[in-house]
Amino acid sequence: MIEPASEPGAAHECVLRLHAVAKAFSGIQALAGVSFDLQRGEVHALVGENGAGKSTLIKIVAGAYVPDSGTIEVDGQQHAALEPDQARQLGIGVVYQEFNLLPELSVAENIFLGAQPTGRFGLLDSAERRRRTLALLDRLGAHVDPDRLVKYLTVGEQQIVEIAKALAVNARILIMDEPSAVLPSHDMDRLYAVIRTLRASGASIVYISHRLEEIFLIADRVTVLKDGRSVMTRPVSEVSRTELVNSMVGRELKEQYPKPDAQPGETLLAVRNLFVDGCVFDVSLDVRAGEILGLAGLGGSGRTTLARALVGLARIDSGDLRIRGKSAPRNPAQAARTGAVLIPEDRKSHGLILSHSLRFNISLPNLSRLVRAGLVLLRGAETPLVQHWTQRLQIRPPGGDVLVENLSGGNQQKVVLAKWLAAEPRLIVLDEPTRGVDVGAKAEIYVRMRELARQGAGIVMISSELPELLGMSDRIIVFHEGRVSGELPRVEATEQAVMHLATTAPVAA
Amino acid sequence: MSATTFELRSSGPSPALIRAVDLAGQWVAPVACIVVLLLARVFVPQFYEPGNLTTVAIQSSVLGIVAVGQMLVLLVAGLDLSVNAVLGLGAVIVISNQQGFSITTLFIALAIAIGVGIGNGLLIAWRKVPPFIATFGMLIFVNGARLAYTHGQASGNVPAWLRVLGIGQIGPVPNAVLCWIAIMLLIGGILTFTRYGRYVYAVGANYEAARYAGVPTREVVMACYIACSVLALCAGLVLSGYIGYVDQRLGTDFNVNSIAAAIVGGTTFTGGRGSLLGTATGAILLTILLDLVVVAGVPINWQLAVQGAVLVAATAIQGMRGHLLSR
Amino acid sequence: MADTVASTSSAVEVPAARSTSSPKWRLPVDGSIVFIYALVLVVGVGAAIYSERFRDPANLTNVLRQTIVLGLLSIGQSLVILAGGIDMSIALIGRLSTLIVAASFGGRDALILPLIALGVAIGALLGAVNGLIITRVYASPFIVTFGMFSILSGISLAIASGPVGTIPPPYLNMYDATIGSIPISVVVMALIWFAAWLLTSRTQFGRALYAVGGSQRVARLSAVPVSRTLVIAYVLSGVCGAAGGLFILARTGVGDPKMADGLEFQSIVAVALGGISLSGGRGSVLGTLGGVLLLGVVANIFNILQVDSFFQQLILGLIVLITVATYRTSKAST
Repeated sequence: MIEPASEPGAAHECVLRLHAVAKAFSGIQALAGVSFDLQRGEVHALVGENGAGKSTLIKIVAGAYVPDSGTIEVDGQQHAALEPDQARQLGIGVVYQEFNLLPELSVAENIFLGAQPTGRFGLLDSAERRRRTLALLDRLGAHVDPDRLVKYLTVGEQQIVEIAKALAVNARILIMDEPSAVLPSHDMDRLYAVIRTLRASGASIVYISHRLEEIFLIADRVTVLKDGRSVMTRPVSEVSRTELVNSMVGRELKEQYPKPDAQPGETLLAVRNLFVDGCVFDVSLDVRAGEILGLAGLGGSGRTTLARALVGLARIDSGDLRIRGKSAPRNPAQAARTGAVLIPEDRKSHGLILSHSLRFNISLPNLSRLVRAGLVLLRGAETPLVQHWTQRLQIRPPGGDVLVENLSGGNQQKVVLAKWLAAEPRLIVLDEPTRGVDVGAKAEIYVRMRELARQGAGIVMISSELPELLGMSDRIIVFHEGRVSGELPRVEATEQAVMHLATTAPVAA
Repeated sequence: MSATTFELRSSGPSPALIRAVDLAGQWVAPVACIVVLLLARVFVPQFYEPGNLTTVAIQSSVLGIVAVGQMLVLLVAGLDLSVNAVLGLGAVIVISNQQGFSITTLFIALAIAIGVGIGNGLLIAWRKVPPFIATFGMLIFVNGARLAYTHGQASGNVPAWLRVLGIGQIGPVPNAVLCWIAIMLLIGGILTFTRYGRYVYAVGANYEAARYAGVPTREVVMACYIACSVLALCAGLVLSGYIGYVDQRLGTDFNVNSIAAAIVGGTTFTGGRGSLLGTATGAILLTILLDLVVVAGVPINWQLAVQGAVLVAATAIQGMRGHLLSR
Repeated sequence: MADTVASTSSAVEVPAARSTSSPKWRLPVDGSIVFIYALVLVVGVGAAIYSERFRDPANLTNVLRQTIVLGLLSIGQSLVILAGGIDMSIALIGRLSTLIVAASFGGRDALILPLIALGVAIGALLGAVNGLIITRVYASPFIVTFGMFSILSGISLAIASGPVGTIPPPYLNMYDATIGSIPISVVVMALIWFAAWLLTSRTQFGRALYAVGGSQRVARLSAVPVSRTLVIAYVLSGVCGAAGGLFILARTGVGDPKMADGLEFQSIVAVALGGISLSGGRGSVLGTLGGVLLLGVVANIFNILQVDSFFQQLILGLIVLITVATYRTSKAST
C-alpha cells in the first residue's frame, strides 16, 4: 500500500542538504560529488549497490568523516564538515546495523545512559526515567518494557531501543542503515509502523535499504547512488521497480576479461540444502572443474558465510556439503588437504599476517610440506617455493623478507593467492578478490583465475562488482538474504537481471 | 566490522614516533644492563666479587628459565601467573619424597606441571577465559594444593644430582647457566627451525588469520602454556639445588619477575613479538638490579619495590609499544 | 593499503537475540544472587544444626564482625571489577596506609580523627595512582596493580619490619563497642553495604561503572566519561583498602607489617562468587555481600572443626578454579 506522499505545494522545508560532496580514500573515490536533500517529515530512501557510497555518505552526515569538498546544510546552516557532537546537537541521529547497546542494562538505562534523570540527593530517579522511556516508546508506537534487560529483547525490540536512543537526544533527522536487514520478517511490520509514526511526528528519515519492495511501502522519495554519485531522485509514486534497478546498474563494460575456454569436468563441489550458521538457508549448487561460478548478491546475502563453510570456518546447521566426494571439512587445514581453499574477504585481518614477511605468509599454510620428520623446517625448501610463487604471480617487490604490510593492496592480494595456490587446490573460493586492488593487479588476477580453471580447478567467485562478475563467470548464482534467488548462465546475465534477482526474495518452493 | 566513528578522524601517531617507541622497547634491556653495570663499577664495586658474580649468574639462570616460558606464553598474547605455584609445587614434590630419590617423583612432578599447562590451555584456548583470570585461578589452586600437601612444612633433602645442577660448575661456568643456555637453545631452535615455532608467531600476531590459514591455533596456545609450566618446574628444581633446601617461600617472586624480564626484553603483551636474547637480557638486568640492592646494603625490602617498579615501567613502555604497533 | 571503502559488505554481525520474546515474568533479582544466598543459607543452616558452637550467638556475632575487613575490601574490588578492571594492590594499599597511621600515633588520643583521615587520604592517593597509570598506558589493570602490589610490599617492609605503633585505647573501641549485644561496627558495615548498593545502582557514577565495564566503546559513544569513571573507581578501591586496614588496626591494636596478607585474592573470590562477572559490566554488590558471608561462614566452620589451615587454602583454590571455569562472557552481542 502506498502512503500518500506529502502534497506538492505543502511546506517543503529542507532539513538536510548535501551539495556536491566528495570523498576519496587512498585514491578510490567513494563519493564523487553527491547532491542529496531531505525534506522535513519525509522518508527518503537511499539505494545503491555495494560500494556505491551509501555508508560513506552516512558517516559524513554523522560527523565521522570529513568530506574533501562540498557542503552539508542542516536547517539552512552551511557546514564544510561536521563533528560527531555537533551532528548530534544539530539533531542528526544514526541507527547503525551494529547496535551500540549494553546487554546487561535495562532498556531505560541504555536509552538514558549519558544523561540519566536525577532526583533527590543526586540519586537517579528511576521512576522519572521510566516515565520518559515510556513516553519515547509511545512516540514510536512501540511496547517494550523499560525495565527489561536488553539481552532479553528480540532483535526487533533492540532496534527500537536504538531508535529511541536517538530520539532521547532529540534527533529530528534520523538516518537508518538497512534497518530491516537484521530483522526477521514478522518484525518488519512493526518497524514500518514505527517509521510512519515518526514521520507523522515531524521527524525526517533517510532510509537505506536493499529491499525494493519495502521502499515502495514506506518511502516518499528515493535516491539512487551509483559509483559515488546520485543518479536519480524521484518520488516513489513516480518510479517503477525496473527503472530503479536499471539506474542502479548499467555501465559500459570497459574492461576486457579473459574468455572462458574450458569444458566443465568432474563435480568438485556439491552442496545440497545447506543451512549455515543462521545466515544461509537451503542452498544447493554445484561447481565443476574448469568453470568459474560467480556468486552475486547484496549485503547480508550470506555468500561470505557460505564461503567460510566450505573451508570449515562456519557452523553447518544442516544439509550436505561434499568436496571431491569427501564430507564437509572441519577446519581450513583439512579443507586444504581435500583441495579446497578460501581467499577471504578481509585480507588484512583474515588473509594475511601483516606484521610478518612475504616468506612467512606464503609458507604458513604449506609448512607441513616443507618439513622433514614432520618437524624441522627446511629453509632450503622454503625459499624456492616462495620465489616460485612470487615470480609466477609477479609480486612486487619480490624480496622474501619484505613485510607484507608495506605492499600495495594488489600485491597483498597476490600474496594471499600465492599462499593458497602453493597448496595446489582444486576448488578455489575467492571472496571479493579485487577489492582495493589496482587496475594492473586486477587484470593479472583475472588472467590467473582463467588459467587455473583451464588447468582443471573449479573457481567460486564472490563479488559485489557486477561488471567483474559478468565478465568472469561462466554462470552466476544470485543470493538474496541467505537464499538462492536464481541462476543465470553467462549468455543471459546482464546487470539488470542480476540486480533484479538480488533484490527479490525467492518464491517459497 | 564495527561502526567506527572516530578512527578516521585522528591522524594517529607519526611513523617516527612508532619507530622510536619500537626501538626503545627492543633496546631498553641491553642498554640498561650496560648502564647499570657501569654504575655498579663506580658505586657498588663489591658487586664484582667473583662469589657475587656467580650468585648473580645462577639466579639469572633460574629467572631466565622461567622467563623463557613466560615469553612463549606472551608470544601468543597470553600471560601465566601460575608459574610460581608450579615452581614451588614441583620442587616440593621432588624433594619431599626423599626415601632415596626416585625417577617416579620426578615424573609425577612433570605430570603435574603438564596438567597445569593443560588446565590453563583448556580454560584459555577453549573456554576463552582471559589469561590472567584463568592462570590466576590456577595459581590459587596450585598454591592451595601445595600448602595442603606439605601442611605448611616443606622439608626434605635435596638429592645430590640436584645439588650439582644448582651449585656445581664446569670450569668457571655454573651448571645452572649451562642448563639455562641449553634450554634457550632448545626453545630457540624450536621457534626458529620448526613449524611449531612459526605457528606460535602466527597465532600471536593474528589469531584469526592464523586460523584461516589452517594453523591449529588452540593446540598451539595450549602447548605454550604446557611448555611454560614445565619450564617453571625446571627452574624450581635448579633453584632448590642452588639453595640446598626447600622453602615455603620458594618462588614467590617469580610471577612478577618473569613477566618483567620478558617484557623488559622486548616481548609485547599483544603477542607475536619477542626474542629469546631480549628475554635473557631482561632476566639478567632484573637479577643484577635486585642483587645490587642487596650488595649495596640497602634493606632487602627495597627489592620488592624495585621489582614492582621495573614491572610497572616495563609494562608502560611495552604497553604503549604494543598498542601503537598493532593498530 | 587501498581498501578502506566498502563497508556494507556481507560481514555484518547480527545481534544474537532471540526471534521470539522471552517470558514476560522475570526474577526481580539476578539468578546468581539467589544462588549465592541460597548457598549461604544452606551452609549456614547446616552448620547451625550440626554444631552447637557455631550457633552460639557470640560466635555468630563474631562471624559477622570477622567479615567486615573482607567486606570493605570486596566493596572496593567490586567497583573496580564492575568497571572492567581489577585491583591486586588493594590489600597492600590498606597495609601501607595503616602502617603509616599506626607509626604516627604515639599513643595520642587527639590524633585519632586526623590520622583516620590521613589513612583514608593515602588510600585514595594510591588508588588514584593506579587509576591514572591504567588509563594512560595501554596495559592490563592486572599487571599495573600487580606491580603496585610489589612496590607497596617493599615500601611497607621498609617502614616497619616488625609490629609498630602505639595505639590509643579509644581507637580500639571501634572494634569492641557494642549496642546491647550487637557490635556497632557491624551496624556501620551494614550501612556501608547499603551505601555501596545505592552507589552502584542508583547513581550516575554507578551506572557509568556498568557501562564502562560492559563496553568502553558503547560507553564512549554515549558520552560516559570512561577515564574519569575508571580513576574514581580505583580511588574508591584505595579508600576501601585503607578503611579495611584501619579496622584491622582497631582489632589488633598494633601495626603489623604482614597484615591483610592474601586479602586481595579473597576479595576477588568473594566478588566472583557473588555473581559479578570478572570481565565487568554485570552483577551486583549484593551478590558480593553473599560471597563475603559465605567465605566468612566457611572459614568459621573450618576453625571450629579445626581443619588444617592449609587444607582451607586448597578448598579456597578449588572454589576459585570452579568459579573461573564457569566464567561466561557477558559482553558482545554475538
